[in-house]
Formats: sequence, structure tokens, C-alpha cells
Amino acid sequence: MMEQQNDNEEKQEEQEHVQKIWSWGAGTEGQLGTGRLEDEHLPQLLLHLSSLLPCSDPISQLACGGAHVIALTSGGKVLTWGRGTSGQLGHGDMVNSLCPKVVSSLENNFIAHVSAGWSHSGFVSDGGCVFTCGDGSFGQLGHGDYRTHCSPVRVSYFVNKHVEQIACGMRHSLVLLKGGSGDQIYAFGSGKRGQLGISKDKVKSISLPEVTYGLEDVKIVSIAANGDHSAALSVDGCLYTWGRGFSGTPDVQFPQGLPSSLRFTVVAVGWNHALALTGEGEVFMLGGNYHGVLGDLEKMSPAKQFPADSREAILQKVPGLNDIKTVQIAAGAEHSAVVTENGEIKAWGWGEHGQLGLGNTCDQTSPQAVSLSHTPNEATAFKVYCGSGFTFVIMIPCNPSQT
Amino acid sequence: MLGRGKPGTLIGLSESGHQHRERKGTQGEENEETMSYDDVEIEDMEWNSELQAYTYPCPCGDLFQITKDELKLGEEIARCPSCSLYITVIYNLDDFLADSKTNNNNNTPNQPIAVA
Repeated sequence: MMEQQNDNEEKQEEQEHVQKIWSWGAGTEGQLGTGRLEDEHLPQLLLHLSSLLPCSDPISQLACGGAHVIALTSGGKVLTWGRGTSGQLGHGDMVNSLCPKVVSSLENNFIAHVSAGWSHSGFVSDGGCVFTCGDGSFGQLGHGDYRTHCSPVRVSYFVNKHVEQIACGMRHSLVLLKGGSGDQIYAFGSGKRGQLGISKDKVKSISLPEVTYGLEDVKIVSIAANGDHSAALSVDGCLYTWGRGFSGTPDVQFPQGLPSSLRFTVVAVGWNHALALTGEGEVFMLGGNYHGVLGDLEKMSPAKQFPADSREAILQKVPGLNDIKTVQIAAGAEHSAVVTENGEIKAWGWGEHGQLGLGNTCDQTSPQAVSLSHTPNEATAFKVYCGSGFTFVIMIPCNPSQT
Repeated sequence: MLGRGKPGTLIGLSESGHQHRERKGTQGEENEETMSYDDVEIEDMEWNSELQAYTYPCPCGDLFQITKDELKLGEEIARCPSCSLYITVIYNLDDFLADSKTNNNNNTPNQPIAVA
């Protein structure tokens, strides 16, 4: 009897240590990892996914793309699931996967950073190597051709360079090199909207990496890409954007620093908006004047459609987050999510597929609290990730031994 | 770009200078009532042989789609089968009418999807 009780206690303790993962939104390609091909309007706890991973090797980062997800574990392993018809899952085939599967060809590398584009994927090892797979028809894999690859292939251009990050957009990719200043960001793929930022002139597409123009004297610490947008943050908190113009403003062919006295620490981009987080935990949105009204575009006031005589998109503070500091931000194609310092998940934007996790398909113009049926406590922290029409949350156990 | 909903407001915003942008509302009242998610040039769409349609990514994860037959009929709305959004396709009708007389299979504006 006593033994059984101990067993139960141990089991309970074990369960508490198992990493919790939730998903919701568009699910018809298997991207939610639920094992079903259905949309979900409320957060779904993914017990199956959690049980695939040993407690000692939890997921440390997710990347959500057009309809696929890349999970990186703290031990440098990579799992992918969702749409795989362009080879973006890296499993060596071109089929969807309902269940998370290890990308076995990367197992000889310790992967430290991942990114998911519309239909391609990027992986960076702790040794500074970068690998890509998926749709290459715009040159977005960076291999010097327009071929598609269904297993990750090392981008040989960077063979003598130490890559730190990759950011995959709809049809382009950015790569950030480690350290130093100047010549840090490289771009490849479609450049039609200026998203490569490699020249003052228009570039249709390139399949070999080229360095971005105009950031020679700036030290960049992070990059982001989604849709036809590109963004970067400098070490002193300046936000640079290029590519498709926000809020109907003209496209920008090379990186432009945002004229603002604010200092940003994190940037996330969607297809028509960007989010930026300040060191003080405030969230600002660039563009996104359709954010939360896509289902009912007529509601847009004409004044918002065309900013008065402005060639610059307007940076606005996200309403409804007053007084509560935000610790993390995520941008999907047309929706957004944040984690607040008190452990709440808030979502807003387009909601047609249930991607806001509020139990309905309504759009929201300001952040709304998502219920995970889990009480946050001091021992846990959340991270939120947004893809095109879907959302993931992972619980990071704050185990002192792992930090 | 989002929100250029009313036909006519497109003119002058594009540097490409396509004549056919001057829509005259022949698509019916639909254009007047709701707004297109985006305006996409046909050369930026991809030919999908499985769907037998030109496609473009939809923010819901699916694809906006329009067939050659629809294009030949002057249709300029590409719909997403999974959601309520649609895009306006910018193309030259003559290109598709001429194409039907020659070869149906050689009209892929972008690089064809490489399938190994």
C-alpha cells in the first residue's frame, strides 16, 4: 500500500516535470501536432509530443512556418511536423507528417537555432554551419540553384564563416554571422519587394547569398523574416526593416533604421505587420492596420488605409497591455501573441481559424487572454510561437540544473 | 497591398504600369463590397500541376488558387479554399487568350516547381 502511494507520488512528480506544449488554430496539414487534421479553436495540450521527449531534453525553441513546425531541443536535436510537400520537414521525402519526427540527417550536429519559412526551413549548428531544405524555386535555400531539397543541405557559401542565426520568410532567407560589425547579414531568395536588402536597385531573385547594403557600421544582434518583410535589431536597440512596405507605404530596397528614441530588444514580423519589444517590456506594432479586421475589412476607416502624406509606416503602442510588462512576442502572418511577466498568454489579430485560442473564430483588435487551463507558478515560464494561422505555446520548466 | 479595395485606387500606386489594372467593375458588385487581401501579379504566382491552378500563399497556410480557364474568362479573383480571403490577380488577358491557341503547358511565368 505504502509502495503504491510512493509510486503514485513519483508518477505525479514525473508528470509535473514533463514539458507541457499546447497548440491551436489551422490544423489541416497536421501542423498542430495533435495527430488530427482539424482546426482547433482552443489550446490543445499535446501529451503525445511531450512524451516523445525525455525530461532531460525538452524543447527549447520552436519555429512555425506556413504550415509546418520545427522543434529544437536543449540537446540540439531537431523534430519537424506538418506540411512536407516541398521537403521542408527534412525527412528525405515530400509528404506531410502528422506526428513529430526527428530530422535524422542532422543528428551529427548540435543544432542551436532554427527557422521555418512558408515552405522552407533553416538550421544553424553550434559550430556555425547553416543547413536548408524545402522549396528552393526562388533561390531561398542559398545553394546557387533553384532546386528543392527534402533533406537539409549545408549552405557551402558559409563554409568559412560562423553563422549564428537564420530567418526564413515566404520566399527569402536572411543569415546573421557571429560577432564583429559590418557585413553581418546575408540574404538570398526572392527580392522582388526589396526583402533581400542587398542593393539600392530592384533584385528579382538570387540563389547565392549576398551581403545586405547599408549596415556596414552597425552591430546586429538579431534578424527576423516573414512574408516579404525583413528586420534586424542592432546592439543599441535600433530597429531596421526592409522589403514590403508597411501600411501601404512603398517597398524599401535596403535596411532602414526606424526613427525612434525607443530601444528594442526583440522583433517579430508577420506578413503585414511587425512587433517590437522594448527593454521596459512595452510592445509596439509597425503597420498592421488590418490586424484584427481581416474578417471584416469594410470596418477599416479610410484614414487608416492611407496614412496622411506619410511614406513611413506608423509605429503604435499595442493597446490593452497597460501596466503589465511583456516578456516575449510572436507574430504570425496576420495574428500576434505575447507572454506577459505574470505568465499570461495574450493573442490578437485575425481569428478565422481559431488561431487566437479564444474558443471562437472572431478577430480581435487588442490582446485577449488565452486560457491554458494551467496555473502559472514561479517554477514555469511560457514561450509562444505563431505560424500562418496557428499558434504554439511551450512551458519551459525553470529547473535550476538546466539554466 | 492590403486595403486597396476599390478598383481605381490601384492606379498610380504601382510602378509596373499594367494597363489592365484599370478595372471597370466588370466583376460585379463583389469588389465594391469587400476588399481583396492583396493584389498579386500573375508572374508572382506559381503553377501547381497537381491543383491545375496558379497559386499564391494565403496567410491561413493554404493557397489562393485560380485556373487558366478562369483567367481566360477574365476572372481576376483567386480564392483560398480554406478561408474567406481572396486576392486580386494582376494579369494581361491577351496573354492567356493567345496561349490557348498555342501550347497550354508552356505558360509558367515563374520557375516551375522543381519536383525531384
